[in-house]
Amino acid sequence: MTVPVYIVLIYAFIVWIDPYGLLKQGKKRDFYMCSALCLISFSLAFSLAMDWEIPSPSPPIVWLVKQLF
Amino acid sequence: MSKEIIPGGQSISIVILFIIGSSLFMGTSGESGNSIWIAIILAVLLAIPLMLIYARLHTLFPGKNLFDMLISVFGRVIGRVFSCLYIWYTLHLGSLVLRNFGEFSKTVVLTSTPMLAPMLIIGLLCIWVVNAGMEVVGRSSKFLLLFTFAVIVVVQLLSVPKYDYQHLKPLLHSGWGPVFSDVAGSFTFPFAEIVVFLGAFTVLPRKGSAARVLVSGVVIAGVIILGVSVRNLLVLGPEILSSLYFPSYVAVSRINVGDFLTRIEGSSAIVFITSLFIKTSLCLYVSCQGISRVFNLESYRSVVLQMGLIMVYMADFIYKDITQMQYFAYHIYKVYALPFQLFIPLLLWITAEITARRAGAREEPSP
Repeated sequence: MTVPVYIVLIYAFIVWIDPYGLLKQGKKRDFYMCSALCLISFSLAFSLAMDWEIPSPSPPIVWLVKQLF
Repeated sequence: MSKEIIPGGQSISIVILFIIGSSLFMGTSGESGNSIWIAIILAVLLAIPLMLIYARLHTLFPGKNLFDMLISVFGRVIGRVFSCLYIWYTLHLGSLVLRNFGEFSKTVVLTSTPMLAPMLIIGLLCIWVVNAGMEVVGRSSKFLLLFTFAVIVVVQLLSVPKYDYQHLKPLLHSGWGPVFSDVAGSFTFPFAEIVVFLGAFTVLPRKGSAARVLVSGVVIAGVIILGVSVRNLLVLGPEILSSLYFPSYVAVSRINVGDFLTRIEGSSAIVFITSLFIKTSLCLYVSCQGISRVFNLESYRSVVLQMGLIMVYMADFIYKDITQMQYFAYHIYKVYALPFQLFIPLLLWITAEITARRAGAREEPSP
């Protein structure tokens, strides 16, 4: 269970250099977008570290293509 | 920040490495057995008119990329919807390419290492290079292409003693049906994937350069893929070829020059990594450009790190196993990718031509 702790620490550093860096530069719109993406990427990284099952986008695409043909 | 411009030679290098990317190693769609070379030639011939359409878009919208074109032609709402589809496509394509590398590492090279580790390393490299700018990608690709050419030519020559020309016969023994299926497969993966390059059209130097870059890039990449596919076929035969996940790696491992020059498949793995590095970098660059245009950001660099990380994580959970990857790449992808590669660009081109003609007619002075 050490990997999720590392993920949190690594993301604390990422937030400090990436979204917070943009905020310090005064790029507000870029900061909001970057923060939203950072939240998504952190969620994915944490889920992978916890071995939680993340739904893959492939099965819906396969289903859709099979429905068409 | 100053506008990024990369010379034509570097753009051609990017196009070639992008196209040969994963198909050089995974091979192209292979239902037609020993007639695969006919399918590849037909796919290249089909891709050339499409490249001319893409180039025409560059002439109609000089200095604009795919997302600018979509927004200016279809309006702010529909244009943004189409742009979001392309952001998804480039992000997904980047993940698929990274996963190809991950599966290759897991099954062939680094069998005890978690798949995420090599994918993360390549992903971080792509984030770094995209953050540095397209000029860096262009310069890297020119150097890497020379290296790739050298390795391919040497490996091709060393494979000649292993050729068995009987593998080419009987030609078209399953008829034209599988060949046409492979034409569709090879057209969408890898040739028409270069639609992604439309997202980087702002880096091309002048108005008419896109046609030269795209057509010559597709033709050169087509010749390389044809050469490698024929080599794999002659060395392995159609039955073994269709049963392998990474046929090029196995074909190169058969090289044995006087019991001295053996086990040189690592060299072909390096070619795979260099080309997929350029392919993933371009996918990442274009997806970030898309986000930047859709949400009116000051710079695409603001989202490179996060998009790159999402791309790497997605590559980890996008397929359950290598069988699912193979099935998706050869059976599903050719239908899934068609709207992005053909239908939307065609719609964009036709609408842009009509708009340009109407605008031209309005500007003509009345007699």
